[in-house]
Amino acid sequence: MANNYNLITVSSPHFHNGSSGRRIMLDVIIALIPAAIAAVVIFGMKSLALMATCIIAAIAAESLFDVIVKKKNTVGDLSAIVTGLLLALNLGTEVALWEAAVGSVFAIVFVKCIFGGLGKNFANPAITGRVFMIIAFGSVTSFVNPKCVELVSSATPLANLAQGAMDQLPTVGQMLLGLHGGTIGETCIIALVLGWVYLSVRKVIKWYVPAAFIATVFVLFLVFTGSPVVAFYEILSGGLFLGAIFMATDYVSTPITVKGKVVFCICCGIITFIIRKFCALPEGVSFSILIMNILTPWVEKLTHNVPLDRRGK
Amino acid sequence: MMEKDIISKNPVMVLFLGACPALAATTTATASVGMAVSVCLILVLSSVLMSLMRKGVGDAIRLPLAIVISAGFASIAQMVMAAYLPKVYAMLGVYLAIVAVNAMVVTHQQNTASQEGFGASLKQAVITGIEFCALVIVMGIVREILGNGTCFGAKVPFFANHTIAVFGKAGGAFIVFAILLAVAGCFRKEAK
Repeated sequence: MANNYNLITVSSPHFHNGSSGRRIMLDVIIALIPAAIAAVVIFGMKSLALMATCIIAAIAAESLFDVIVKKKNTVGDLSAIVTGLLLALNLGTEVALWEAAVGSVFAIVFVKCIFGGLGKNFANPAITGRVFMIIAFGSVTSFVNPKCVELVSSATPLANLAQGAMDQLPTVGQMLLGLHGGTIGETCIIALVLGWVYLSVRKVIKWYVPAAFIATVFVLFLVFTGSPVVAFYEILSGGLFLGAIFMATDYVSTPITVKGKVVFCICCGIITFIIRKFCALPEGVSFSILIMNILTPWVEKLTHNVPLDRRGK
Repeated sequence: MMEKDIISKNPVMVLFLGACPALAATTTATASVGMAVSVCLILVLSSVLMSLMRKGVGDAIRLPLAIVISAGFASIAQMVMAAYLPKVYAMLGVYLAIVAVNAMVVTHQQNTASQEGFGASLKQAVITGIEFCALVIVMGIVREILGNGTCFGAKVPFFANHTIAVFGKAGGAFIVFAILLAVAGCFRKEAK
């Protein structure tokens, strides 16, 4: 009967643009390539070694976990590579390779695999791996300047800002090119923006979602300090662009609706501002994203779409 | 039978009783042995005393009595340790004192010591104590090796140069505890 027709009945939605979890992950990897290249150019071969270590450790951990729990190997969805690469870009050159591997294994096994694999993790594996490493290893929060530049200060721009040492800040050009101390992937703003544009064009993310995060931080610093220069430096320094573009837009650990994603990012911005301004830590992007990951179900509840006929009831 | 019980009937891993000392006092192997032995002794002694007194005690007074008895033995343990093992005493700090209200000890007194005879409750207390000891000492050794690179103060090759400080802190306690729970769960499944 049905075999006589080339018709298949499926439930809605009926249009499919061919995207898949694997394709999205591939897009994220492509979008991270400029930042990865910039990392190698600015910070040298150590960053290449960090990236390779993190990716290999992530793939090995996921494969091994799948073998132990007798599951089908899930490395093919590429999410382990994204996690490893993102984690490596979130580390400085002071981090030892074995420490990076431990962080990567933690991110994959304890944040993703134990909760049931991709799609079931409550928080972004890379950001949680980084937070774990901040607590576990002192080297994660110590940075050195890249060898290719001479800078007045050996502190990161965020540390300079926190101390109010405006005269020691790098120039805006150095900030945009990433020629200052920090994690290997966060400093080069231009490379990160290229990734942002690519992801927006490929419709993997909405361009205004990271913008909401960055704008919130800018506005709060502008209002609080009254100085556009300080606010501008604040958004260019630290992991704000890297976090906003690649981690606060993670599909799994952020709200489903666009409205929810924007609320998520605005809250991230507020928490980042509070941590940078009032806490002992100079940087708050990773903590803000982790905190909001945990609060995502709550944001989801507040922002879910109500069917038309139920509105106002 | 004993070996199986240590995993499948472990008070901490199955009922989460006494998880507080298991998490807090296991930063080093030495501290965990000190904690394990003192909890064991407090458990056995208070259980014996409770089972001897069980006939004259009404329901209304049983819980306060149980806490007074375990608090008494906890204080004795504290004083003995402060006198003879000041280093271990310093490591354990307040956690030794709060064994007085340890859920495992109090539950044991409520459910076993005050219901059953002297022999039965003594046997049960010893078994529970050994089960608790096994978990706490394993946690202490794992956490000291990973967090500090040492085992009972002696340097462990490889780990000494690759310490992960978080395992010496509260977060690491939960991670190690979770891994042990998962391993125990695995064994329980196979035993069925």
